[in-house]
Amino acid sequence: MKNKLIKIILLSILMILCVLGTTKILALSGGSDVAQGGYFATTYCSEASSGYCYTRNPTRGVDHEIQGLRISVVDSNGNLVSERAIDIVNDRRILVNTSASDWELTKLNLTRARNDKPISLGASANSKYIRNQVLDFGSNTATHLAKEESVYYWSRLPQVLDHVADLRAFFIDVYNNDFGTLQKIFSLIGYANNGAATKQQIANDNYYNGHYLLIEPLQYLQYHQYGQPAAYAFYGTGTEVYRMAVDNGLTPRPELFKQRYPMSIHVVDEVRDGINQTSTAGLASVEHITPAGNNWAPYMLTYNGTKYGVASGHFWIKDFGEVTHTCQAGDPSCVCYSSGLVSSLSADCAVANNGYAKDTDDWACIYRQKNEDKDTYAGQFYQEINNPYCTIACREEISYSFPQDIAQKVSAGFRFTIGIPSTVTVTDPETGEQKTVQVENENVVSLSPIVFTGVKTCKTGVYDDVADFSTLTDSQVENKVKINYTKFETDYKAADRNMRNAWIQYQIQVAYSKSKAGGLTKGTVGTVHQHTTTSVTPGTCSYTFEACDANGCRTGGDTCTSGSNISEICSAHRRNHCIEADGTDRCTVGSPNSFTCTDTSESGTSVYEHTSPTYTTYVYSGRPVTYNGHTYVYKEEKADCGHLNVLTPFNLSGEYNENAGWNENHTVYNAAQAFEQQSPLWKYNYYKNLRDSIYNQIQECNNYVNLYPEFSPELTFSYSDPVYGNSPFPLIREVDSIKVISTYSDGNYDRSSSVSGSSMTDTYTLQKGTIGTIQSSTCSGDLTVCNTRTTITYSKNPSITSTTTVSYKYRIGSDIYRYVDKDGLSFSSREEYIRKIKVSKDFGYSVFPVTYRTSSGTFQFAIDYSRDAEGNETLFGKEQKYLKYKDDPAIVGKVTPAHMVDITAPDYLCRFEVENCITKNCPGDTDGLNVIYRPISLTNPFPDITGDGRHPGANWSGDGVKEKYITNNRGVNTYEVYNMKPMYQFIINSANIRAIRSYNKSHDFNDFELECIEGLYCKSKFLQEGENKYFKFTNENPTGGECFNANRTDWESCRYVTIEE
Amino acid sequence: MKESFWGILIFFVGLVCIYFIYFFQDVTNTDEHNYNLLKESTEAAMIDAFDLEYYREKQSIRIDREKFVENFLRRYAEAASFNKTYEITIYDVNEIPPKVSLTVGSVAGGADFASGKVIEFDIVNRLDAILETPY
Repeated sequence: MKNKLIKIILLSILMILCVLGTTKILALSGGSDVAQGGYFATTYCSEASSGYCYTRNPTRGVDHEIQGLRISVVDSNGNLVSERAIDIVNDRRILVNTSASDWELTKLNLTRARNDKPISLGASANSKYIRNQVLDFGSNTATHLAKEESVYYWSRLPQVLDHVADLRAFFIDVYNNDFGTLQKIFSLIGYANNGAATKQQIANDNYYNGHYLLIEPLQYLQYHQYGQPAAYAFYGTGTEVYRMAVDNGLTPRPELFKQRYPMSIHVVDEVRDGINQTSTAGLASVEHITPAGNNWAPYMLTYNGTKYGVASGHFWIKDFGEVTHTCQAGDPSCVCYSSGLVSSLSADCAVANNGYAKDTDDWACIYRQKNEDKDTYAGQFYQEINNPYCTIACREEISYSFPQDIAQKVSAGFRFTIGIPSTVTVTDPETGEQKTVQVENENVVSLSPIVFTGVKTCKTGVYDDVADFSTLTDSQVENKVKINYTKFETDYKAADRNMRNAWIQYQIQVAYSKSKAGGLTKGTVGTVHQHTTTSVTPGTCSYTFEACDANGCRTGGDTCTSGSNISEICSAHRRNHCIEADGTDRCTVGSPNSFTCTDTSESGTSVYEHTSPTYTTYVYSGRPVTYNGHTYVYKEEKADCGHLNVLTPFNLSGEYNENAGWNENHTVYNAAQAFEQQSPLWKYNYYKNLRDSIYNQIQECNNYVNLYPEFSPELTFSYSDPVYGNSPFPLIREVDSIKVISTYSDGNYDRSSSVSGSSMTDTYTLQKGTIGTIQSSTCSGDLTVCNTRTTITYSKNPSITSTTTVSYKYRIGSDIYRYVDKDGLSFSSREEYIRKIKVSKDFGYSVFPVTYRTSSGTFQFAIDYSRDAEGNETLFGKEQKYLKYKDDPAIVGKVTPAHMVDITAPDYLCRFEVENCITKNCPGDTDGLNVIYRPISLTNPFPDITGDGRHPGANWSGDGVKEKYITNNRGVNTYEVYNMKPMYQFIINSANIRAIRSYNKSHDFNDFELECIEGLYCKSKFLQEGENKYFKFTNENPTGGECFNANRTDWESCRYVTIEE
Repeated sequence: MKESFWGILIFFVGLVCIYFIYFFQDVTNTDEHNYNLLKESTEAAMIDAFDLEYYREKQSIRIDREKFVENFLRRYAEAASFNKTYEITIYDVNEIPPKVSLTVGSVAGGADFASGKVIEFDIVNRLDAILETPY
């Protein structure tokens, strides 16, 4: 009895376990089911007719046993991301080195199969069997695998795959508690910076998004016949084993490959980013191939001519991060709250010349911010759009690239700049007109471009009204990310239906209108009505009376003749008739007391006098008008005195009057009543616009773009120079590029060409990706009904990602030190330039001059992007959230202090070297230009002791320079120049000397009273005005010499005039 | 009488000698003065004619031609003798790279420019000079 009870209990437990085993399938990750439940037992052939039977040997004799895993990392299409795949085994008995330690590289013992049947491997020498770990749709990507039987031993690898030790839990445990081992695996497969990546990087870095740890269980499988030793022995993944068996003429038994068996790790459908993924990590889901639970052994190799890998599972790399970031409010482990803003901003180019600041990469975390206060940093993740069908969540990522140290030395007295234009516009000093000139290669030091790039990535977010996201997992949050197409279809159909009905009502009105317009016919029988106004009211005579006589009323207050028709008498005398309180009839003047009738017509209400207490109305009818199977006749009741009652249901006032309204009383009581009182045409237009608006809104959900206008960094530049570099210079921001990429269900689409100013032109028109259809009506033409609904298309992508990348380049302001005069003074004023145009030069673009007397050495320049030139805080834009909400605890206090220091004072320092080649201010030197004045011999201008001549100075060292300008000066040989006509020749006598000395007292020697053209061809005012005052000309050269008064055209040619001419 | 004659002769010979001494001293001093003045004035004028504007633009050494001519005239006149007339002849001024060739002649006293006759200058000094940057 006791044994029986125990058996019953055990049986019950077994049944429960079986039930659990068959119903609870734990996932490797969201998209993979690993073999759960059931068991895999060795099956021996019971009789000779059994054919081939299979055994698993060596084995530990446990269910769901695996003997190894193949690990690699692939992308979402199954392409290998890691450098290689590795096999990891957990049973030393199958290794050559049976005492291998953890992570020792060794080999499989190929004779360990039963009866020493050599094991066939996927990497046999003749490559008959190929390790096809990834067989995505028709693509065998095995070629990337090393065809070696080398394996690593790892004792911690699970021996079985079941719901107790599923691989997801196993790898998460490794990630959380033994991260070094995971790094070891990554190192061996060549992934995650060869295992150097940190947990934080794996959790936050976009690089890992879309990567999958590909897992393939490895097993032994032997085939034998009854009473015979093993005929075949295979080792590999499920696909490989199946392939090897088939290639050897065997028919693998289906039960080996049912979903619940170890070899049957497989992919299932997975909803990710709002899309039901039937293929993940390059692996087809089993549901996509065959209904769950069925044997899918036939699909191990081919299905409809296409190969599949159905013995592989995957684990999303980002799931590692998800496990440790539950993103509940206040949870310090969640990236949203621990580091809402991540930044790395360099303050010195010696460290780095670039940096970034960005929101968290964790979209699940971003989606959770939907209900955050809009006045907070976290509340800025969701964009304010007036659209009931979707929400939009955005994250920002800003990066910059600044100049590095200037490698090339800047000469004192010279200049540097940021970006040299190829052409510039300058003022022609001769004509005063603007002209465009090419900028020559001037050897000017130009800092590398200053570039700011902002990326705003917007995705359709959650539309469900979730009050508390903390109760949801990240996956659950992401599953709510979708566009509400159900509501769209309901709303659109309702609006379309109402529009059709309103159109019919409007056309009925048109029918009545046409009926009236066809002419009204007066009815033959009238109806007698009483005037609404009581004309005679006893006791109301309070006016000046007029007596009545035989001829009627007269003045004096006499009573009227009894029996007279007082009313008619009064009327005849155009007096009013009234009755005294005692019943006396009197005619009166003053108050109107006639009968009135009210005429209500299209033009309003009019009151007419009428003498009769009654009036007769007649019905006027229009012509019959048929519309939509019904006949409509306009009718109105009208009296001769002007009474009018429209008898048809529609007033014919026509178009809706926005100001006065359509209704007769011009009174609007509430919105609903006001709507009902609108004309049918108004209602038709209303519903049509509503319907089109609904359509546009769903299109907007699919094509939403944020052009990121708030991203507008303002920069200032300053540099060390005692004369020119004192104040920061605002840099001009120019859009370098705006790139808009929208990602639909069928891929990316570049929409940059649709950017028009601050908006997109295709927001409501573009249809990409998944296209849906809906019935839509068109209504037009008098007395028509709306046509049969036609099918129109609309974008129906499950979710959309739009990425806007705005790139700015910065240049110096337009007129920063672009002018320089003959004194070497640079200035920025165009007015000053115009005033000094005869002795100034316009570079055409802004420059940063270096003072002539600057000593050789290292100097700094700085870029400040936290403040503008007025000192106002700007950071990445005055309206950009990093600045706007910088005091938000989501940024402040949760960000490491180093980040805040960078954010609030991000001066970027760098250096440039100055080499003083022009002035003598180095230690020991005296002031003056660092040029050497040399009297020379024209025959041997650069002599040395050897007689061969020394090397000329830098400005004389060019090819042919010495010959052209010295030994063959003015085109003649050496001293023959003195036989040429002088360029200038003057006579000065004592009077001239006296005059010149007087002039010198009032003018510095470097006054530069010249008239130049673009800094060249300078004519001296002293020379131009000095004849007979400061000098005289000789008789031989009465014009002062060949070059005296030369101008631009003969400035050079005058030098070459020979004496013979 | 005889002694008187000799005395007078010696006196005139002395005068002649003094004249010649004065003449050759004047020639020598003027030549030296003129040359040094020419050399110094040329250097100063070339430095003053240095075009800082062009250096900021091109980082290259240039002198303004007429600025040099003007500056030379002014500087030379500043130290010239009132009792001489000078002929300043500039045969070459090259702006880039800076090189000048010029002569200065002088003659004692005033010169009759109005007569149109050619003046023969007693002393003529010549100078060729350059501005050279270190290498």
